[in-house]
Amino acid sequence: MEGSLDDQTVLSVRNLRKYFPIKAGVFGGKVGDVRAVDGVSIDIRESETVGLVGESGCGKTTFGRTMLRLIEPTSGHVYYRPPADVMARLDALYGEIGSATPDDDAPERAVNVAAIQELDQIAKEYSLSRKKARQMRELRGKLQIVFQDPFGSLSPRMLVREIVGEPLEIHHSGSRAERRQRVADLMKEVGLNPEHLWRFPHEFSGGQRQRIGIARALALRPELVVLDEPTSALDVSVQAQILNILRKLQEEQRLSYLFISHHLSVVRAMAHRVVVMYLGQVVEQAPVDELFNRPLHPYTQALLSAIPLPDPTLNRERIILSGDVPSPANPPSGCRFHTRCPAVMPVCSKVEPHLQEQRPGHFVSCHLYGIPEEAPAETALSSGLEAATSDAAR
Amino acid sequence: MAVAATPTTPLPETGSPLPRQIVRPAGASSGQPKGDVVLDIRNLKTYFYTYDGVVRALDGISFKVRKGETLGIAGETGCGKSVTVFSVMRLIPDPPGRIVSGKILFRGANLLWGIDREAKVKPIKNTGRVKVTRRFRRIKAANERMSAIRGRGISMIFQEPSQAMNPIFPVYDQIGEVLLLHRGPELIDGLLGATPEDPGVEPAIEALASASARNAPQSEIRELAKALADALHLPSFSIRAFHLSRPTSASRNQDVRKALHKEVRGLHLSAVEKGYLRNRKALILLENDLRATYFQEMQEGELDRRGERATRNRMRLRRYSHLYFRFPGVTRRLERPLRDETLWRSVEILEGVRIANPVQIAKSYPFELSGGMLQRVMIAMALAPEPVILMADEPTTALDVTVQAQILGLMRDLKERVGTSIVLITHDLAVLAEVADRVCIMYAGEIVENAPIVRLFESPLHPYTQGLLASIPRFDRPDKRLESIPGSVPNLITPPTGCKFHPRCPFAMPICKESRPPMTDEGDEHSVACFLYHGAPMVE
Repeated sequence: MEGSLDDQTVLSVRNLRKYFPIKAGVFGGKVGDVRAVDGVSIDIRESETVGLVGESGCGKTTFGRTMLRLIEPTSGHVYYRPPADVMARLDALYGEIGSATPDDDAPERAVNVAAIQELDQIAKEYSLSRKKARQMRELRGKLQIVFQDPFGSLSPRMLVREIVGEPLEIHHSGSRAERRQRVADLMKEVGLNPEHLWRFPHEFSGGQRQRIGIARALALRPELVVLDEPTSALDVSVQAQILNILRKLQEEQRLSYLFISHHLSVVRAMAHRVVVMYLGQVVEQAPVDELFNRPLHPYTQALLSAIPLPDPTLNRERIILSGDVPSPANPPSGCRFHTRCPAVMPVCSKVEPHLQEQRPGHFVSCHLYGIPEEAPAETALSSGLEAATSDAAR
Repeated sequence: MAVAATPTTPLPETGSPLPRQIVRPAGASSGQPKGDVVLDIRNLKTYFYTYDGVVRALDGISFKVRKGETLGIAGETGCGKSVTVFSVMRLIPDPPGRIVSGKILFRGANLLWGIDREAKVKPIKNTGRVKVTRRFRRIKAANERMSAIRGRGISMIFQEPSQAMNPIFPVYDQIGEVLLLHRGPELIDGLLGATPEDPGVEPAIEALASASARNAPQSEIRELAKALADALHLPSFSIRAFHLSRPTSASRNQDVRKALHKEVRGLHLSAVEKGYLRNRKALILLENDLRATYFQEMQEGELDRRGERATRNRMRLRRYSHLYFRFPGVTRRLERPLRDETLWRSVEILEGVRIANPVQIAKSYPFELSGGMLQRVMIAMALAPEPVILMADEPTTALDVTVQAQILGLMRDLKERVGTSIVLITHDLAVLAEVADRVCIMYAGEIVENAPIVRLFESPLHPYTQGLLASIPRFDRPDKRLESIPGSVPNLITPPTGCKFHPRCPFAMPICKESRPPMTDEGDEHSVACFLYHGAPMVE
């Protein structure tokens, strides 16, 4: 199940940010930002499923769309198929520059001009946001998306054959007969009958519509498909059908998936690697078994313990988070989870934690696992850390 | 009043919103028979008469809800789960929907009494359609009778909380409406009995204000607020005083004192205000009286002459009060003490569902709150009248897992505290595993299996239940292959003959196509409708 490490990287996302301006007043002046995605970096390799989980409002969907440039990112880059040596160089360069936010002037930090110029060169070659419209349109065939709501994402005025065939027409792939053949094949692949081609979307059930959406996404033989909560509107029995189809297609076509979901059991069943997001940032990232067996971040632990298990005899202890997700327009200082964290320390509200590799492949952003050097040395801090680590040990 | 008519549960007289301590029987979660039956549904049929034909949304379902029990109803979309609770509440939109036959017995009162006289159904020849002649006066009367049941008897949580609340009133107005309806006389008596001129009031305010100024601990402030309320002879004032003098709020000594004085001044009622309150109380009492009559009617199955008299009285009083208070702005001003009181009562109720800053939440409008918060408000509202049964229609489907865990924990707590029976509808069997005592599995408008929760997960009998359980992704068992049920839910206008599940069933036999399997008893309170099993047929 594990995607091997030397597989080629399809997309490599670095420091991706998307801020939506908040406008107010008569003249619509900008009064603030909703930081929907705030510095997310992930890699998606060939024929790998990356699960992206988090509560609603944490920026999962915005991330998926910004990654495909359906929404223009505020800053950051999405590199398409960078070679391994470029990848290594990228990581080194980002390490040199550090992760400065765009509105962070940081005058005391010396600006590494050479590194920035080199990054710019790489971006010119590989980054999606530097592609011209024509190049981007070609790439769109390789990067596809299946939307969450199967009722809203299909045009009610088009026949199914038009919906599924439209990407082929836009990209001028093959002759008309070939296109027709391809559409029929696609229908078979997702488990629909050829007679369904001549129907309108409203004649289908939710599960069937989601299959049509999948068929449309697969029409151009993409390399990566973003699945934005593909089963959240469906019943469990139908959900299982869809998940099985997605798995089968991945095996046959070496597809990569970014599987966005708030349903952790589904992610466990589908993903190879899981990224946990909270308020626009990645808090934990690990291979699926590692994450579910050994969650490190308190938020992940709470999420996992909140899942209802289909077994009435189990009696689990449960971490119940109080309150709601804070507003991304005004995120808490320091660690963004500190307002709801059961293991909060004094340092959490002051210093922002960064992703660190705790075990091989397992990254976590939490002060419980070491405080960055820039943290102010305080006595209260160390005592808090002791208490917290003893908590963790227990 | 509905509950007053039956002696089984005493009416809570005064005090906080959720004071009753109901001790659950020892074997509560083991699914053993316990408590008396509060809701008994027998052979309920709800049809929708559409232009395409008759949709048999509920095709003869029967189940019982016992006191203090959580009954889960599960199934795929479109199998009739929501129609079941909407039928019980009689909220089916009519037209096109109609409860055709059956019985819904709530503590011996048949909620469907007179249903056969409400409409006539005549088939149109050579088409699959029917002509329905409705008698709207009877339907209206039946709807009015339901006011005896809704709220105190059976209350409901809807799936989409933001849709179910009124967007133009703040939260406390909407909770207050429920409060006035169900415990209005108690509220008004409290206000009329308050003694703001009591000599003990002034020192109590002083003590509270100084405690607030020196940031005294919460428990101490709570004590002092209670002392002030005692001095005022208005127990519900303590919550008001507590929130006004909390160290976290704008807490300059003077401000607290001023605010408290203002609140106490508000308790001095003028003669007109008192008159208004008395009038209001008389109205509420009359309405309660009317509901008791309705309930009795439904129990005995015949019309009560007293009901007519009560209606006449009520109309007279309405007209009278309108004549008296219809001057613009006057009613609103006269309502003020009552509105204040309902605000703080709402705050108290919101505190009961563990909302962190209840004053702010109570004063906000529904659109300002998140889905999880609104759902908590909805639950608070549904539980404010302390219903005998709580119907929850997919209460957590629109929410995140972390919030879902909070809400489910809350429902479990409140069930134990108030002793309410819960009917929980969901398509997520994992949720039922967490909270339900017993589960009904529905398919295409029929109940196919009914079992205690542990039995259902250990040995599901019906092939449909087995399919449902196999299709749940388990995060604790990732290697298990996901099974799915082939096909989809059938069209209910022309459902399959015999057992409705047979086209999707892996064990279908010739008999399944021909006749509908009866519900058979398979022991241990486990019953199933499938020809694979040969238990004794259930007696209806």
